[in-house]
Amino acid sequence: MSVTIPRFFPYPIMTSNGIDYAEEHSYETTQLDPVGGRNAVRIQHRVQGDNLVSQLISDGRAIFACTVVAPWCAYRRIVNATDRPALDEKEIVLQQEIELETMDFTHPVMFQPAVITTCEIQRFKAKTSHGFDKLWIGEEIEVPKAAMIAIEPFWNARNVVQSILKVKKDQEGRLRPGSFEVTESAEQGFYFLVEVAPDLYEGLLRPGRSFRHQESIYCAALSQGLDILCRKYKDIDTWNEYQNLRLLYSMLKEQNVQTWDEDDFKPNQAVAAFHPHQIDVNLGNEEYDLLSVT
Amino acid sequence: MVVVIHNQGDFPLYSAAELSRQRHLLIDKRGVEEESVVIRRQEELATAAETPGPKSFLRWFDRIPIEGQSPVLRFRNSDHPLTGQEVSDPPLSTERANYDLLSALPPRLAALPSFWVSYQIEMIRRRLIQPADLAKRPSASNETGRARLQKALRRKKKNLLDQCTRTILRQLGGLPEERGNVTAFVDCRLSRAWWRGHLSHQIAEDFNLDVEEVWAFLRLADAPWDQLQQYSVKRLTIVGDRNIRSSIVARLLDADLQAEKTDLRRKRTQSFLAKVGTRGAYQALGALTPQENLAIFKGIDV
Repeated sequence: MSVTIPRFFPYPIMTSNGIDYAEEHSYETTQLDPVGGRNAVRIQHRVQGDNLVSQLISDGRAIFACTVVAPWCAYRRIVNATDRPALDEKEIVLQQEIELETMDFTHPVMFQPAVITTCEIQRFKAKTSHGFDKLWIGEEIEVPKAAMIAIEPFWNARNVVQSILKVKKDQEGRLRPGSFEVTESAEQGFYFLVEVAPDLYEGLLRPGRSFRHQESIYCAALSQGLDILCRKYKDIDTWNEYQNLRLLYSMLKEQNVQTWDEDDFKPNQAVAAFHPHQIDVNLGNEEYDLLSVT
Repeated sequence: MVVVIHNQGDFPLYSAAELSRQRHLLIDKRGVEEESVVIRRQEELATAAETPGPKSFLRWFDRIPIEGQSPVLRFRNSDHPLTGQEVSDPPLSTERANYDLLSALPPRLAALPSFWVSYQIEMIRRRLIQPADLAKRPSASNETGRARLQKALRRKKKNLLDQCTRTILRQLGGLPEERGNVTAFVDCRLSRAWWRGHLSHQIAEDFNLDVEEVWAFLRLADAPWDQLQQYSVKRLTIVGDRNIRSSIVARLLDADLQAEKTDLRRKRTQSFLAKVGTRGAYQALGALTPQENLAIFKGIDV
């Protein structure tokens, strides 16, 4: 019986919930706070397992990188990580910092971390030692220069809802499973700190096919954050000191909805104006895969 | 509100949020208001634009708060006031002159409709643009903006008042509420000229081409300019990467697209961009040099 391999890419690619690699192999990224509160994005790349991706990074034929996209000003750029990653038998880890001040774009900004080849990889036969899923074993594969051999979905400032939220895991076990708590922070131009129960935390960072659910949770968190603003700044305008709040305020105005200094401000309605809740009943797997890579 | 001291050639920036609110009030897309209320607002703007001299039009803008001053750019006077034709459909010489005056403008500001409103209001204040010319249709070379406004105010033609309002708003930085964020790249003639100049210089530099040749190609009516901008802002953001965009334009130039009629040029551009998009889904073309990308694109039919 012949088996059809569901390939979108002409070579195996490591993605969250992807099927090209065996389960113990993964590529994941975490967003960290920039050092010294600088206007930067700091990403931790991590490749786990001994596989083609880690082998190519180890011998210098692939690098960690991040695509920065600001579509409203037709801006897109790939920023390569320049430091050498820490190599280990089981994993490769590298922190990359992207200075935003040197870039000329306006919000919204999106980021997509990836591992990219720096040269063409000549045709070879896929083996178990490459970490591939068994469907690829024995196939002839060639990889072009600049191939994205591991990618994460676009994240962070995908929309205004996510850009002003910082998610942190509740390390002390204070929160009930499946819950979160929102507080405000005046650091880095102001943001809402969303402390999340450990079980919810993993799902929020890598929602896979539940990305609509993830977005709804972010919406609920932002709604709570706006409620805090309303209580704190309804009658005083000191929020003007914070860059992110000025941006948020002008975006609310642009959406033609009330702002937190107005009597009939409704946080939930304001969030829905940015990001209406959606349920894609017809969104099949294939469409999701396309969404995650375009 | 920030108190602005107007000095040393700098110019004030109008509130983006309030500009957006006013555009919503003038173009009642959702039909939530009485038609007569919207028509009254449109009449007010059209009358202000039609009245000779800048005062009346500037007074209309008094309702919009000022958020600050242009942080990076001092206003430079052009040699002469723009004619109606130069406002509605500027020739290459006017585009080049406008770009030269604003070559130091950062792209993040050039992408903002509110910047172009503020800049053009300053031009009106300095009598470099007649407000009535903002209503002139690009395709109607014989009809002046004032004549069109007068016709609209006399209601000689159904919906003409609405069309005039939209023309004014498109020329004044764009109409993002209706056209999306691509509006600053394609609708406002002044900002479009800036972006064409900015990108022509990049492309010419990347491939050692003649800037004028590239600029003239990007000026061809509608295609490929509109497709390139729509794709980079809305549909296929890899087109916004300089390493890719420059090679796309170089490939289109190489394919003699300029010899084609507009419709075919548009179709061939769209088809080519779709193929580039497929390739870009698995290869980080932005990590390659423009020359490497051009070599790849030469293997893709236009």
